[in-house]
Amino acid sequence: MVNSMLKLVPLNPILLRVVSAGGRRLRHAFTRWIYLGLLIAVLLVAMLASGSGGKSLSDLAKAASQVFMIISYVQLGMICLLAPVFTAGAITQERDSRTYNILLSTPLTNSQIVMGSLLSRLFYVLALLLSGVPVFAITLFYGGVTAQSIVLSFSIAFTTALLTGSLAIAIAVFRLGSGKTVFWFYVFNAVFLVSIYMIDAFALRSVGGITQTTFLTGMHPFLALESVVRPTDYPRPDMAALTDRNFFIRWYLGQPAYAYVTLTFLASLLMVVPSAIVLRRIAQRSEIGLWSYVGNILRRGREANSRKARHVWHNPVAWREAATRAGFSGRGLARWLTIIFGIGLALVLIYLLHSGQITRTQTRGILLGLIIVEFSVALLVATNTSASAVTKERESQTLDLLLVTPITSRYYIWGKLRGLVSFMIPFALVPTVTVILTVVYDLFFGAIFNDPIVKPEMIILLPVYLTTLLAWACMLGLQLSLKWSKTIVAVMASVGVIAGICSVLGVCGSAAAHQLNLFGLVVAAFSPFSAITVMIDPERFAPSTFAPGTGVPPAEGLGRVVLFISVVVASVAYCLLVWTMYRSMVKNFDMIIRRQHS
Amino acid sequence: MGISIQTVNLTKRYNVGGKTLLALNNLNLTIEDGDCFGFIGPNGAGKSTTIKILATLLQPTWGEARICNYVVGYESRKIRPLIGYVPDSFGAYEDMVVQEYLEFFAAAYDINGERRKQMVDDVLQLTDLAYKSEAMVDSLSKGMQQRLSLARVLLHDPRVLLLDEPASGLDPRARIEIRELLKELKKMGKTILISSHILPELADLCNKVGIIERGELIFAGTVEAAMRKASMGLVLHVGVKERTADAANLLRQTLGVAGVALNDGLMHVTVNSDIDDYSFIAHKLVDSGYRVTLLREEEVNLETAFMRLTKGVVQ
Repeated sequence: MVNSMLKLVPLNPILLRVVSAGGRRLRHAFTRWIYLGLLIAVLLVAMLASGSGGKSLSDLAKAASQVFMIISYVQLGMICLLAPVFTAGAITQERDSRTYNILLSTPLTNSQIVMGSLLSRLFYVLALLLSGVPVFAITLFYGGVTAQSIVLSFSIAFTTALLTGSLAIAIAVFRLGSGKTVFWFYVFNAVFLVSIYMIDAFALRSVGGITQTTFLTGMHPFLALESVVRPTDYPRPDMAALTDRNFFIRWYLGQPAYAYVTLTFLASLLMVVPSAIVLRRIAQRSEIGLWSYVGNILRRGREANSRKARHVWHNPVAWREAATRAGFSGRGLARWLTIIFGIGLALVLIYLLHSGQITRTQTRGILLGLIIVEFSVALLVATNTSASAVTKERESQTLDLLLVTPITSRYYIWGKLRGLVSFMIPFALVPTVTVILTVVYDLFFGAIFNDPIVKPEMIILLPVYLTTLLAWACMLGLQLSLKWSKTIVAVMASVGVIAGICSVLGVCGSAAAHQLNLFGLVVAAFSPFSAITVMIDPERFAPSTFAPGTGVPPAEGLGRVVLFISVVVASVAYCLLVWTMYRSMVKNFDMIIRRQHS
Repeated sequence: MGISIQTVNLTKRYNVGGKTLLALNNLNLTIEDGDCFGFIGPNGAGKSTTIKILATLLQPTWGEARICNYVVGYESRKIRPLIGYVPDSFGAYEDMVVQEYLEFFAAAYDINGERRKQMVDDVLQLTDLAYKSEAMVDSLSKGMQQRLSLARVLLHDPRVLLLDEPASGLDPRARIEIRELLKELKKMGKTILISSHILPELADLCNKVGIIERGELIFAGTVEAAMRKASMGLVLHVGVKERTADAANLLRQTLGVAGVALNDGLMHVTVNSDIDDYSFIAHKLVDSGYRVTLLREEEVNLETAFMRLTKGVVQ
């Protein structure tokens, strides 16, 4: 028994191989140093910003609490970003059957293989997590942070990584996916994290007026963490008010952080245990996956690997991006789902407003949340698609075939950009159509001049602005795709850069719009998410200019003019940035490709 | 007759993990219009590097490569419409059917409108893939993928075909089909540079061969010349009715004989390289009272020529 347990985890040969190899890799060590460096930098900046020097013990405790909150968010953010990257590989291990089949033919038990695969993929993430322990321990010295909070913060991060890994393993074992699923895996993770948070923060708290944790807190890592690190701003409900509920609901609503950790752990077990039971049985059953099996039934025996040829454009590179590659791996489906859900939800929103179930302010808040989720999905798809545009061709060795044709670097990159933007335009149109629907509603029901849900000029501004931003994201992804030779590295680098830029600009833009009157609008226009929030809900996100009764606001009309001009100028600036990046890429293309060949 | 491919002191060095690897060392090669040139060499000898340089994918470290008198690297844009390159692995695009794949590359060569459709139909017919025009590219068998690769490079009617191991990994039927297709292309007057490990097929297909080892060209010429060079010091298989060992000793003392080895009751007699007429061997044996039962030249084919000319050393 003891021997079996030892072989299952600490002496698991799959895990041992990864641990011994991973420990020697300099790249892994560098990543840990960078991660730790980032945590320490955040810690120092937060300490300095909170002005801990020369204060009372109570001030120090308050500052430590603030610092703990910030580094906990950074840690969880990093885990949410890295866990899908390191665990998604499990989905494609099926394809690499040369090693998978060898493993299945060894005396290793199903449990050893499943646990080995899971833990070897989580090892890297867990190593990062553990390396951050000393940084957190520093906050303990100042008081204000309890050991229980730190344990909870780590538990939330750990179980989040565990759930992500278990999901990937279950998909691989039950053959629910292939290489295409990796993309969906990222999208699902991102959409889940963004949308649930937005629903809780905007729909329930901001608009719905709820002042405590909600039923969503126990199912979302950031909300669960928020209940730990901000107990006064995001308090748990009073247990006395829950006495009429059953034990589980009482526990779930009353202890959301513990509920998240426990339920996530149980969900992971629910995925891992059946995987371990049926691993070999499924592997022996057939070579096709579940979806292929269902697909074959639906096709009723028709040949699956053929279809009518489509018309190829004059620029074949653009056609390939827009029609085949971008539509592949579920991106095409993501586009249609976004369009259908986006417009469907907009219609539901207008119906709720019309029937008096929600107020105009609530409608505006929900609309903003909807547009932000749609834009986030669009940015993710744009980044993912463009970052793999060149690397995929390099990996499939089709790039060489193109390089020996008369196609020039200018033609190639322009084709890529044109194809990607063509594919992304519907993503920009969904929020635009949503805004048009609300403006048309206001036009018919007489509120367009006094209290419109959205200012009518946004019909013009929003599509222009979103399209230029998506073009910029595509160009950035393309540049990194050319620079890096591996798709996974290019995608992660692009997502990281886009997320970093949007976060930094978002913080600056949001603060400026709140405090700097008209100049704040100019600054906010250059920050993607701040600009969208100000365009949709200016009263709340640019109160110094638009909200009456806050200081001495300039005339709203002037504010609208300034916002209009600023967004147009920002769009032109992003276009110029795209053009500059395009020129630089054309100039360096041959040199980079030649260097990679050599 | 013009020159399609020429390399002068072509040298290529790679940096691998901080070490310099000499892939090509002063390679001098000349291939005339209409030649079908077989490029032979052990793994890692520099065949693919040479072909990649000629296909404008790599820059030489030193020396010069020319295609139809255009210099690779300086006039690559003029070279690209003149060449058709088939790499050693098939580059498959996901979610593309055969017709789209060919139209895609036709568009890359600026072949549009009705002409594009016509060209695609023509190459599909030529490569016998018309019935697979709506099949997904990545679902094709390896043999069909190679035929599709050839169809791709024929779209723009190039003068020079650069084929890197086109028959590698194919089953016998697919290999024969590809060979017949290449014979057709040869008849159409294309200049073909083909690298392969399947030497009997090269001997059947090519009029010239080049043998490369450790980045150096150790032979270039006709297939017959390669065999002649390999058979320097002709080997004869000689049999006598009885007293074989005595006959062997007799021949060892005969002028013009370089050596005699006994093997399975037969003498393997190596004659000096300057001797064309070896009838004196039969005369000597018959005059000494031996009854000659066998006298034949050892067969030299491209494989034995390759084995004799190369040392089997790879980098």
